[in-house]
Amino acid sequence: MTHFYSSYWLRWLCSSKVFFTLVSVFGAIMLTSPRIHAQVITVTGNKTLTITTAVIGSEPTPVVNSTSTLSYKRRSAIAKITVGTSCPSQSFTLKVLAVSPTAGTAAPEVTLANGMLATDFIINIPSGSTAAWRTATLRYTASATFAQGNSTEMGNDVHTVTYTLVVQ
Amino acid sequence: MNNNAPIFDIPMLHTKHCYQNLQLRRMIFLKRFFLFAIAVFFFFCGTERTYAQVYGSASHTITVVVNTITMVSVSSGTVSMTITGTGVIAGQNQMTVANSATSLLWGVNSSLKKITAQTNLVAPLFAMKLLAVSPTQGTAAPEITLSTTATDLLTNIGRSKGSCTLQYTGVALASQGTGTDSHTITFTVAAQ
Amino acid sequence: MKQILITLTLVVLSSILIETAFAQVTATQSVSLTVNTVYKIATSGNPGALTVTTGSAGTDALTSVSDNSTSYSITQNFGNTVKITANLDAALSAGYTLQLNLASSKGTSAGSVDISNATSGSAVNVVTAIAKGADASQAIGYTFSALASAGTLASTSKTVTLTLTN
Repeated sequence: MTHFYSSYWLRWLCSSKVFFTLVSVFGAIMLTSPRIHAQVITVTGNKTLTITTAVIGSEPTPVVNSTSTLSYKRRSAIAKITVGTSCPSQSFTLKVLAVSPTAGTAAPEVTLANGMLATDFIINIPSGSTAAWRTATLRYTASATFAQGNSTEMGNDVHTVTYTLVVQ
Repeated sequence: MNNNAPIFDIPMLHTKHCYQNLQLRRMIFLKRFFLFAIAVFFFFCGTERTYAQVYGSASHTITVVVNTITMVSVSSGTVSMTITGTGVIAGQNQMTVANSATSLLWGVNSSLKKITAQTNLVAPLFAMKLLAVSPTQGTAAPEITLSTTATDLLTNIGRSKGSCTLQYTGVALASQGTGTDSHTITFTVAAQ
Repeated sequence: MKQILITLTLVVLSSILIETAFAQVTATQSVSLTVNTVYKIATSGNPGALTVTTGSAGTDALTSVSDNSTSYSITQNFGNTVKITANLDAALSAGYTLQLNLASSKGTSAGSVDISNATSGSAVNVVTAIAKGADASQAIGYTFSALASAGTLASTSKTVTLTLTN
């Protein structure tokens, strides 16, 4: 009768070091798999919004920029997109609204504040074909009050705005 | 307990003092193997549950720049005042007339600012006084007599939007006779 | 060279921007102050009753009575030729005389002036050449006299009008 462990490869496979190595490699692959996958969400380039004027009796006139586009793909499950920002030493107000998303429903305008929790931006993105890109125009509105000062004294607000496609 | 002891190594296989029963050793091995496999399974299940919700993310940078904005305005560009004798008391040389119909409005988003006032009239016949009444921001200076030298009207208006009533008081002495002074008053936001 | 040109362009643009930014730092307002001609005259009140009660034997002119209890004030900015005239609402009967004397520090007092027959159409000057300015609390003196030959005069009220005019 052949000994169960008489096979050298079986013994080698069953050795703890080898097994843990295999498990680790597999786990690493699993963990990094989303990054390895093709991109499912992109956003167009960086923008600068400059507040330059005011109407007497009112706060400085807000500036609106709608030249950015958010592109995303549907997934195999209903998904949503959240938005968050990192802006150390934020002085002014920045809001963003998804305009005319081709998939999903735009959430109300989101005020971007440093350290904010990821906030729903586009919800109810239906599951379906994952091939085609869906888009939404990003409408940023920058505003400031006289009391908030100016960039010369306060510095610019530089937001790193992150959009995340997650399962809903 | 030796933590470094291998799980699937069966060192007793080569030791004649270890288990003699092959079946028993096989069962032990299988038991350990399946326990570990179950652990691995749950590990990956957990991993998926934690990370598979995020399909991807994208970022870009939005920069908000606020220029220095300094604004000052008056609610009306013209103020007319006339001393007609109404209200003049016989025996008093000084005659006055007041006007509080206009306001000064400003918006300043930089710090340490003030508003000054001055007239272009080098030699007015009569005195023209000005007081900022009830400023919503800042501190009103005491009533000033307008001259061609800029004089503080309001101080401490940095980074604010506000308004105040402009109270003009024309002062004429009967002994100065009659006439008309046409002032162009300039309000200036200046560094404090 | 290119860099210099770019730098110069940026400097010029910056100047324009700075001018734009400070274009509304000032605001202007046209304020006119007009002083019209002002004439103001006022009296402190009415004098007491002027009653002739006695005279000197052998003299037709009875003993006159006076009142210096009132004053007047003026303010005028017209010029230095302003005057004060006085008149009664109705002339006194013959034999009765009312004299008026206005003191003045800004003009020339005419002294005691008979206003018995001065009416609105024939006011008499009591102060002339009043300079611009104010003259406050100057004394008004009334003197009433009567002739015995004129008989008695029932109590009557007369209105004396002082006019500040040029």
